[in-house]
Amino acid sequence: MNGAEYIIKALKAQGIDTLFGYPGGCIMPVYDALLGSGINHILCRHEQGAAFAANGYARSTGRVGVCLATSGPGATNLITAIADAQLDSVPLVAITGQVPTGLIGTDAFQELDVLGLSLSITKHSYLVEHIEQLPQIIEQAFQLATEGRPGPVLIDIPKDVQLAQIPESLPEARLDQQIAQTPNQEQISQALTMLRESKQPIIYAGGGITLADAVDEFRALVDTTQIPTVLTLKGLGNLPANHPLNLGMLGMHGSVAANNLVQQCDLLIAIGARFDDRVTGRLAQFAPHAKVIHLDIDPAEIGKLRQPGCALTGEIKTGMAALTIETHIAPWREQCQAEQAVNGYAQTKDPSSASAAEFLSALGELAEKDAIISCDVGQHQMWVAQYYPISHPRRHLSSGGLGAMGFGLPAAIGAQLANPQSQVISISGDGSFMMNVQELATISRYRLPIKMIILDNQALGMVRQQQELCYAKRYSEIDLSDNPAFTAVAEAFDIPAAMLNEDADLNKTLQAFLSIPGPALLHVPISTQENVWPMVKPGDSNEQMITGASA
Amino acid sequence: MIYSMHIEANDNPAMLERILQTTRVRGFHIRHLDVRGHESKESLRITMTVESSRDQNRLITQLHKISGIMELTALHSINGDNAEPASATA
Ligand SMILES: Cc1ncc(C[n+]2csc(CCOP(=O)(O)OP(=O)(O)O)c2C)c(N)n1
Ligand SMILES: [Mg+2]
Repeated sequence: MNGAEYIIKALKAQGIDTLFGYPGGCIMPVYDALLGSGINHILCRHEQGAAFAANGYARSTGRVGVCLATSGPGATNLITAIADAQLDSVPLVAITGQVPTGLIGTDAFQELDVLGLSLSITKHSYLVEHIEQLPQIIEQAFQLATEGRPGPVLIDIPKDVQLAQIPESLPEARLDQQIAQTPNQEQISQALTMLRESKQPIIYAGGGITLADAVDEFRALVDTTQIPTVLTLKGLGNLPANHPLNLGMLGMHGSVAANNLVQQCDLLIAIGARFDDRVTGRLAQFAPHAKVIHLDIDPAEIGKLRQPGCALTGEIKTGMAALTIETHIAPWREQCQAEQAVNGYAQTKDPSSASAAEFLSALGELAEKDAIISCDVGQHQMWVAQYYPISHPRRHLSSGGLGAMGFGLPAAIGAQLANPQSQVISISGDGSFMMNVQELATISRYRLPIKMIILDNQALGMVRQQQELCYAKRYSEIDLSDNPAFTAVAEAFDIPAAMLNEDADLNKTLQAFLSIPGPALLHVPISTQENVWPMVKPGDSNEQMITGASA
Repeated sequence: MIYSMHIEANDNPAMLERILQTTRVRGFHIRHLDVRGHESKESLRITMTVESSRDQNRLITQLHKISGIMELTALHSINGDNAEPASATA
């Protein structure tokens, strides 16, 4: 058995049933070994598409997504999607071919220092220098990708290593099992004291809850403590959208109530969240009256930006279980709920056209309750976060930390393959859609029943909004009024497509669209002028939030 | 503040680069670096002195996350003429 055949065998042993990739010279032995292997290889039309598809596969399941590319340009094309996995803690294994070991360092054809390129965008990366190392490295890579705080791992494998024979006897695999830390008793009793003393607590819940597979435990915590809760972009779905204690998303485009109440709280319980600047606004003025209890599995997040009064470092399930007690905060809870009822996302409607908010609310009513929503990046992404009722964080795929346009379409491919029974809907802006538009070919080839929606404001809307509000309406390079005819583009890939026109019945059009059996695209024109409200300008405090009315 | 630390790490490809990159990205300047290979153990012994206005823990916790770092000991920190021992965090 050669190295390439071993790779396929090892992937199968890891339970990998689907690979996303693109072939080329230095990965050809692996593609040869793939033939007849029983692994489902999805040929995307750009390595970035393949890596985002693996990323969507992983986000929607919690299992490792695997992508494959050749050396040089194949590897560089993976980079954006690997970086996205790093910033959002997505378990991903990227395998790249490399020039033969003897040619490394000679500027050989398609040689790049992929290991060097990968350092700051992976949890770990390997260059396999000898065939004997291969089994252990593959094993370690899968372990590292999932253990503790998940993340991407890259394995760069020279072509001669892929072709070398695997020795009969191999050195024993050394796997340093990380012992998961759990919060100690002293920390827990300190946290309980803080919780009992608090009159105005708020839970600030992030993506770490899903990564710990702890959504049920989290819901039990909220239901028992009855503490009002705000969610990050990646935390959406930790509570059902209509849960009475869900105050909505906080931060730059968070709800007015969520931001105001965080500013007033006396205790902030941060769970699997990392005080990102899009959440906190000006850090020094964030939750100024609050003591902080911080639950996170990654010790490096504790005190990175905000010093907690008490840290429960380690498995967040343990920390949450310890805090699941009854509290006596009825007046505060009622104040929060009253504010939430009147101060939501402050959308002002442009009467001249269908608003994104209305459209997404209707979609939320008509789509299956556990549909997977895959977003791109921009205003439409924020409107989805605000108006679409996300049922569970694994049902909301959004490039949070990296904010990478082009994420939505390929991520939906991975999610659909991992969840063949689920309704998968991608929601893109007109700008983002064009960034990985080639993946229409992939969707078409495999007849993936993804429902693609383009919210077309004929602009790089999010940039336009910031130019309007922060750069005195000096619009620079945001015009997309010459977009292609999106329906014709889809049809060219043999994908049925329709345009939502102004006087059509929204519900009927949506129903018809969602019931198409295979892939389909809906082009939804919206006003260029529509903005995302409320908004905290970059660098401002969350108290300086502006709404459409005051802008 | 000036901090010193001792690191023992697997000598795997790019280990030193990872340590240097993490140090730079997290906002610490290297003042002194001593690296010795240890052939039989395929490991590196590193003594590093860094300077930053940031707390030492901001670097230590990030270095701890590098796969292959076996031991990490904060030696001491110096703030102007006020030298104080730091606790070991490995
Ligand atoms: C790859 C990449 N390039 C640039 C940006 C900066 N950026 C953020 S939002 C945005 C506009 C997105 O336009 P569109 O997809 O049409 O969404 P809209 O804001 O109009 O809803 C841009 C250019 C980015 N996030 N990602
Ligand atoms: Mg747009």
